[in-house]
Amino acid sequence: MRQLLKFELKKIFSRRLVLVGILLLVCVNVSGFLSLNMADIKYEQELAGKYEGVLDDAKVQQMLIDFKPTKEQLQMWGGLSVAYVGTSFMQSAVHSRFARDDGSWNGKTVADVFGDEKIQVGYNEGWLNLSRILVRMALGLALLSIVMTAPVFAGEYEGVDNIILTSRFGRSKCILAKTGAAFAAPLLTAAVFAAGNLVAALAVFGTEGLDASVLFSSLSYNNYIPLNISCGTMLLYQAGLIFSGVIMTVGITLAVSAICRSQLTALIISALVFILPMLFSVMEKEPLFKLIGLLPVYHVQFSSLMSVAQISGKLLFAVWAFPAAAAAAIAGCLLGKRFFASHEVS
Amino acid sequence: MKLQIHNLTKKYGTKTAVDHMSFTVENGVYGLLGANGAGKTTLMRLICGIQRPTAGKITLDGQEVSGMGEEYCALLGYLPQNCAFYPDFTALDFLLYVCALKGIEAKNAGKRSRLLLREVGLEKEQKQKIKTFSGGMKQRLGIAQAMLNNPGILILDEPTAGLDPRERIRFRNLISAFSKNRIVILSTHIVSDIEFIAGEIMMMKNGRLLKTGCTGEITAEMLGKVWECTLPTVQAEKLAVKYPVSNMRNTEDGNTVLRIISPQKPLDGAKTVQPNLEDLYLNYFKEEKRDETAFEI
Repeated sequence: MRQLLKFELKKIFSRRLVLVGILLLVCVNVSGFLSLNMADIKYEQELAGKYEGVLDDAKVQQMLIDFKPTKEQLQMWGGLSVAYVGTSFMQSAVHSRFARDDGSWNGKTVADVFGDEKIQVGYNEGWLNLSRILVRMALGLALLSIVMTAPVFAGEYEGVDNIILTSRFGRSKCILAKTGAAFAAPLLTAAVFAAGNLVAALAVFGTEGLDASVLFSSLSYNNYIPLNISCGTMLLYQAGLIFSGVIMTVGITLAVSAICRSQLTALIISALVFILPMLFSVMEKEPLFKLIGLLPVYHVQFSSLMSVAQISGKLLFAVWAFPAAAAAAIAGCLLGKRFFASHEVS
Repeated sequence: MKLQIHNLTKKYGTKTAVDHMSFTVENGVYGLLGANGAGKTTLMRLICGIQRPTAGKITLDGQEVSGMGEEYCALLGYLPQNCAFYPDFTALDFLLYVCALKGIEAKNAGKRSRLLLREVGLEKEQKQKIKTFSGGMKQRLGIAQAMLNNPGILILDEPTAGLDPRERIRFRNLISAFSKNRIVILSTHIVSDIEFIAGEIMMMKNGRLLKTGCTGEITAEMLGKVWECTLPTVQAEKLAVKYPVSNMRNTEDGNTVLRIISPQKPLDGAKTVQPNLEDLYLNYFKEEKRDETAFEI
């Protein structure tokens, strides 16, 4: 069995398209981190440190004083809201919710803006930025999973199935090894990339701001996830959803691979099944999205599924992605086995 | 071992590829002979269990093979027509992979794979990627993989296709040495290969078995029906239109030696000669669309 698994992994990782995909993914990841400026990060972390703790009206007023734009700045910005052109994420965060375009207080209290939610202030900009880098990586990983998995069964229909199905373990251990490798290869790749990102993020940001709420963020992350969770919780979900997205994608692709008689067809159909749900114009608030949102593309796209509902505290609707992924994986394995083991060679 | 085919039928839509076929094979080498579309490949796939019969059954020592599962597969060795490989694997890796599929223990797999690579003349190329192999080399690798598990039933579909004469001789010797106490069923268009290797020949046409027996037995009916004569080339060409000709050879003096199939003496001076398998083949398949490879020798 171990030998078979080794060979199945070798088949996956020896494909040129897979190697190119991994290389591209490395480039996307590295470029995301290269765009970060360490001096800016340090400055933002120092600013955030001054207001650490739960956001209250006093802190808001203090921030409005501290981040009040000068007349020269307002003149230079030509009437644009401070929230857009703020010099720091804190300035953008406070001005986007509590100030008019000219920087004066808009009269709203913390309760007016956030209701009863306790908003933990801290350095969340870096983590939110990391989250976006991870979305790009996860999307690439899901597509790479399709490239890895589509030929698992479909590739064999091009002739080697004759040999496999007439061999002793062709309909049993071989299929088990194939499905095992189909999950192991992308999950292993995802784990390496996730670990790489985590290490890089900890090296760049430290642990500062992991307890900060994602809600009190700069304008560019307003409504990214409109629920009061910490950056740590957000990243935990994101890591989970990357894996669940990959698992579900592999499950679906395995079934497609067993049904299609050519790897190219399997690749195209699997890619379409993955991408097409993004074209449905169903909003996160609509009940139908609770179903559509569980499709793998929304696992990796992350923010939409994370925005559906907060069940309680750290528990979000997105947890349903995990049983959905498990169900798809089981269905994919069973269908794959059924179709491949019982097909007649041609 | 006794492999029995009981009233086996395979239909693809309205086309019947194997038509109520029944026969029994025991240890020995059996050669399937027939034109393209005769049903040879389908019959072999049915025996291997990679196609399901429309009707009928196959039994091994009285036990239905469809219910034997891994036990039956463990006895099988199969070389498919147009055998496919993983181009990025080396020859040795591919055989080791097939060893794993066949349940050969890792400690024996390397030894067995290298031995067979030597037997088929690919020892030096064992670490080369298959994508660099010629058609003949791939065919030899296909033969090696079929024999990895020392199969009790070896099914070879067109094993000599793409092999040069030296490789074909090597293959014949390999099969002869291997075939003791086993069932070997092979099909080929190359009539001379069947003649050399097979102890028993099974002639197929339109999904049915026409004749079975050793070369001498099945060619006996052709005694007195095969003629040889030497004629000027122009006359020989005219005669070739009138009769099925199994061989035509020009001589240095401008004449042509014809080998004619005919129940009657085709012309004065023609002499009867000992019939061979090609004569029989031509006699049965003269109505079929002529396939060039059928007469390759």
